[in-house]
Amino acid sequence: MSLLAITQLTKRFGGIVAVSQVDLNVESGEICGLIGPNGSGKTTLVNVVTGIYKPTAGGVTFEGRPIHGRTPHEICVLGIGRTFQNIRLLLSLSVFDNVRLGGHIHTRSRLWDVLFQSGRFRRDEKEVADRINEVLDFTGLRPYRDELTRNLPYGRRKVVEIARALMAQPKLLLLDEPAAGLNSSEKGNLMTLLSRVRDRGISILLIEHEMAMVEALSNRVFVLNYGKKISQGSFAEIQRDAAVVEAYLGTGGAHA
Amino acid sequence: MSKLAYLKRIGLAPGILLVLALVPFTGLPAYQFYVLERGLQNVLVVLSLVILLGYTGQLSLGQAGLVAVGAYTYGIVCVNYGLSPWLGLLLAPLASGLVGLLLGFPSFKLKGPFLVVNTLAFSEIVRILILNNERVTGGPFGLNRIPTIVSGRPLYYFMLVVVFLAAVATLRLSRSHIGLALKAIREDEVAAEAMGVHVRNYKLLAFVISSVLAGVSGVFFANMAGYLNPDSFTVNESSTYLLMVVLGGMDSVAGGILSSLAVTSLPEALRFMARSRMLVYSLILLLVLRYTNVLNLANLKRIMRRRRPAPHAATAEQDEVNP
Repeated sequence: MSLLAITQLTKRFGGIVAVSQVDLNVESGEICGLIGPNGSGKTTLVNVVTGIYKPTAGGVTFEGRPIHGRTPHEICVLGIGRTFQNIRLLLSLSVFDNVRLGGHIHTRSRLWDVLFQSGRFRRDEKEVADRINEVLDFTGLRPYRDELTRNLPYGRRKVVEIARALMAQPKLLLLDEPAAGLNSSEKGNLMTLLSRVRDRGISILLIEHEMAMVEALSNRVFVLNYGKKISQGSFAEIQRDAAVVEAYLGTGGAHA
Repeated sequence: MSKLAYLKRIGLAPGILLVLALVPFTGLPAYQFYVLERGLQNVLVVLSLVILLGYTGQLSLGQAGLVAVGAYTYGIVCVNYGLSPWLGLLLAPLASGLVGLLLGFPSFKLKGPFLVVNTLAFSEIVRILILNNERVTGGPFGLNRIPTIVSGRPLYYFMLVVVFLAAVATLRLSRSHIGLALKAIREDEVAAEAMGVHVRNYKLLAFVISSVLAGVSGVFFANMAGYLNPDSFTVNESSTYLLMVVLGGMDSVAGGILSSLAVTSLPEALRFMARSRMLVYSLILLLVLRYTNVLNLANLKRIMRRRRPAPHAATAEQDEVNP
């Protein structure tokens, strides 16, 4: 049984078919690349899996359970974490608080516990603080713990988003172009971080335009074009696939 | 350890309220004392807005309507049914909380100005309902001879204790994961939802807590005035509450307390100016809003805490990167 299995998934916006009959699966402990030219439906696919969109047709199962039609917060609780293509952090709050939000689903105290600072509340707080520090160490964000997120450079914000997602202890992480906008040293750090995430047993579905990164990290790669899956396999295999080459470079045209 | 550390642990907001406990010993004239009580009553509404607007980012111009629900529930329970004021004190926030829950539902779909108009309309509906249900509410003639829970000095201290508890509760809420979830909704609903925050429930929670506080404020209003009239709960009041919370720095409890006391007493302090009073009052408020952030203690703390210069923030252009 696959960790994540997408079967015949279609998402239509009015007359536009953003994703069309896509099959895709992610196994435990692997990094899967998801590539394709701009507008090929990669982000839509992620938004359907995380519950932001409802699929028009087809299904998504996670650990064998169907999850399509569920709300984003339910899907988060089930163990799917994500980052966003254009970073959605709480800019007016500290790095610490942003990561703390990731631990939201693991806090058990209710309003009552908060108002009366019950034992359960204090245990929760302590546990969460320990885990935040652990995640900050893991992602190398410890020095920026109390910095306002607004004051961080772009590349570091992307890491904060990953840290926030990790804090929820997901089994699967969907990363939407984590390397976009990073400089080469930041990209290197990101690759190291992602392979360490995989070593912890967390699967990753990696949407990325940065081919060197997809090649270095992915066990398997899926290629989308105009909402359809046009190829899948190891990076070397899809690299040789004529359909993929055509999608990225186009056909020869007049002088063929 | 040190006294300072202890003061820090208590927090600024409860500290201010402890100082207020000493005011009755200063021989403050009766009228000024009444203004102070009004200020204290307003603090509860401002705290309700700190939670709803400051933390959760839901702008409401309907707080006066919720105060009215609290005040009239108390009045009706005590006058029409002749029940104990203590029961009124219990039922009023229950009623306003329930109404607030209903008021919260439109916030699932309505954002920004649309939500504001919705809450504004709600407040007007409450006022008009009170005005037209004469047999229950006394309509335009008002509700008379409302008994008090306690009166005189004890009422002041009773209010102070309740406001103190509300301030501590708000602070505790703010620091907890619930407060964080509310702030996440304010900053980015999609992100909050993706991190497992049940956005709808938390919005409702904010509306309910907020409405409960406003309802208690209504009970205090009824206790102080002894008389209720729908004219006391207009949009004018709602916008003054909004002004107080903005001036206080939106999400600062201490700032909210100070600004509600200041904004309540300012028009009274300007009474000697007779006709130009409201003009000067508005001018002062405009200048304060434009040029300072004095009451915004959250900001003040931030400024004082700034040790190292901020690194260059990312620019919007960097968000678009072509492959």
